[in-house]
Amino acid sequence: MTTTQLPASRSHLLRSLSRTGLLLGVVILFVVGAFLSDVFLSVPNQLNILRQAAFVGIIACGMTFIILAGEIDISVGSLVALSSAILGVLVAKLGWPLPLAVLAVLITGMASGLLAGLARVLFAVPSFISTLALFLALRGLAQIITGSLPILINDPVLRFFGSGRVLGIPVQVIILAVVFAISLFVARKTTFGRSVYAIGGNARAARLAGIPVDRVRILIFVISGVLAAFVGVLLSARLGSGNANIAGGMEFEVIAAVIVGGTSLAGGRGGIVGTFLGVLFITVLSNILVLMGIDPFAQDVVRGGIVLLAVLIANIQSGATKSD
Amino acid sequence: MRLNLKTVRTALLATAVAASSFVGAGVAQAQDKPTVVFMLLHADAYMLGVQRGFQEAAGDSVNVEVAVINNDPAREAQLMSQYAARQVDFIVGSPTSPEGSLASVRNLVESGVQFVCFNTCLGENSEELAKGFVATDHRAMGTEIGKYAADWIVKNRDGKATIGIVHCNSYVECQDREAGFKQALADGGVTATYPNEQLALAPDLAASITENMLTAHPEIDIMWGGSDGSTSGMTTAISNDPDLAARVRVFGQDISPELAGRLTEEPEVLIATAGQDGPATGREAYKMVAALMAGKPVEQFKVQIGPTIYSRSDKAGIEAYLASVPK
Repeated sequence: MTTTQLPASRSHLLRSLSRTGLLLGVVILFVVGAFLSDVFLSVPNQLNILRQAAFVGIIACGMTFIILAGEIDISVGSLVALSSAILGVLVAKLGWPLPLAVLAVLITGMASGLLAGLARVLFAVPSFISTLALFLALRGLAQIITGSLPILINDPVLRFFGSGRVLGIPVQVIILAVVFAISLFVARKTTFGRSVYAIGGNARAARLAGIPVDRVRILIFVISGVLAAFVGVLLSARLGSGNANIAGGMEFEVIAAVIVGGTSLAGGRGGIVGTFLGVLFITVLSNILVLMGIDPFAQDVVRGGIVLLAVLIANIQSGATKSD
Repeated sequence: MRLNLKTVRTALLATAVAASSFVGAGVAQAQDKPTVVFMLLHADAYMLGVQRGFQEAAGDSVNVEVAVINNDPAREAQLMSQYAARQVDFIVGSPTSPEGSLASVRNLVESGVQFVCFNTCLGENSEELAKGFVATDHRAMGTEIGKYAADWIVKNRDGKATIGIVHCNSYVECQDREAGFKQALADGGVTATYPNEQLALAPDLAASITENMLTAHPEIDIMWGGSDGSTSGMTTAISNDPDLAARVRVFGQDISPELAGRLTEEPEVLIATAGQDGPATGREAYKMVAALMAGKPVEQFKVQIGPTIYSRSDKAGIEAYLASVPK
């Protein structure tokens, strides 16, 4: 038997992809989609898929760092809603200039992440608990400040971010690509990225090795908060309104995408490339179900079943089932 | 990272104590007035409008508390048992379903709390347990917008339409709306085909579904939304795409300040929507509570509030609606 030596980085990438088995899953989904619907492979539909992937995808980048570090953040959907609500109130009701309002929204996201991070670091509150509290509180706050009514935002710049295109590509897709590229670079090429893996693998060992565990933990929650707030702005741009009732259940869609992408809930294993495929997998699946006109009540069953199957296959391939 | 844990903990404790004092002050109520709890199925424009109509009609005559159950029968049951224990005077509520809410309302009523339904009630057990029912005729909501759409399609599309639907049929009332809409189109002489129907209540989900549906079925030229959220999401998705905005038109259900705004903006995507009259429902509910407070039975057990059509051609109606919404 002969073998071919691949360049180190390429072989790492292929190993990572084959480990999750997800690349094959995405390919199969594309083949099935093309077979079942003659519009599936059309350019408008592919752009639809990418545009719809953008919102979950951007937050999933932040969530990947959180899960890699062995933490969880279930407040992101509520933070998206609060961000949208704040943007609506600041721009449409209080007349703030858009850049200032967006800055305020991002600072809110940062503050929310900081709160979760500080609770984890200062009081050893498990991140599931602190972000569960935020999940409830932030949605309630969003409903209070808007009276639970959508607020129409008529701003041409915001509209561009909602429906504009650059060279035929939706703006959200370009933003998604940029966020993924930056996240990939941070995860692989920076000390911070390596620290996240180390903390998720063994936090005590990471601390003994001199990694500033507390600072990194706070920072990953801040990143997640800022990205969720940013998605709140993008979603408001897309809907043309500030709305406290959006992004319900988005946190679980994001977590599912990251887990399907091969990132271990126990931390220390996985990465951004897998997350990208996980987001793509879940978005393509939803797209096909709607294209096919599948009964909406059956869609959740199909989606849940296929996500479970994908994770099972990934675990079997990675040998994770043998560990306990 | 060096942080003074004691200082931070003390600061947090002080904040918590201050916040609880603030909240406590906020819920203080006059003890000599009856307490009416408004149980909202969810906090949308209609439900909030009902509450507003009730409060405006009641003035200072009652203490009004509001609870939002977020369509959750378990939360509804929990809150009702708490209100039964507290012995509030009245609950004005919209049960999640006749079957799912029956036991909770029965316990409540047996504890002595008087219950008035609005929007939804308890099916065949309504008159046994509730003192009155201010209902929206959901079938009529579908029928009225269906009639409007039929006229529009006959005038603008030669009586033929391929219709995509984003409904809210997890609720019985939404199924009535859809049935009324389709029947009115058929009665209005429209030849309609329905290639794809999906469920979405939230606008962000409805927008994604609309994009996918219109990609799969480019022949769709009319969309119908079964609720506020679905109408909003589909209108936005179509408005965002110039090709779709040029050829696809939307008819919807419910009214909110946002949908009222969509009815005045360009491109002309949302043509009309049938809105429930929340404030009128609230005023009728107060009439029932006022009669019960005076020790009299309600005049008529079931009062139906008809829908109002809000359309592009009725600017005055839209302005009147917007003027009625608190800023």
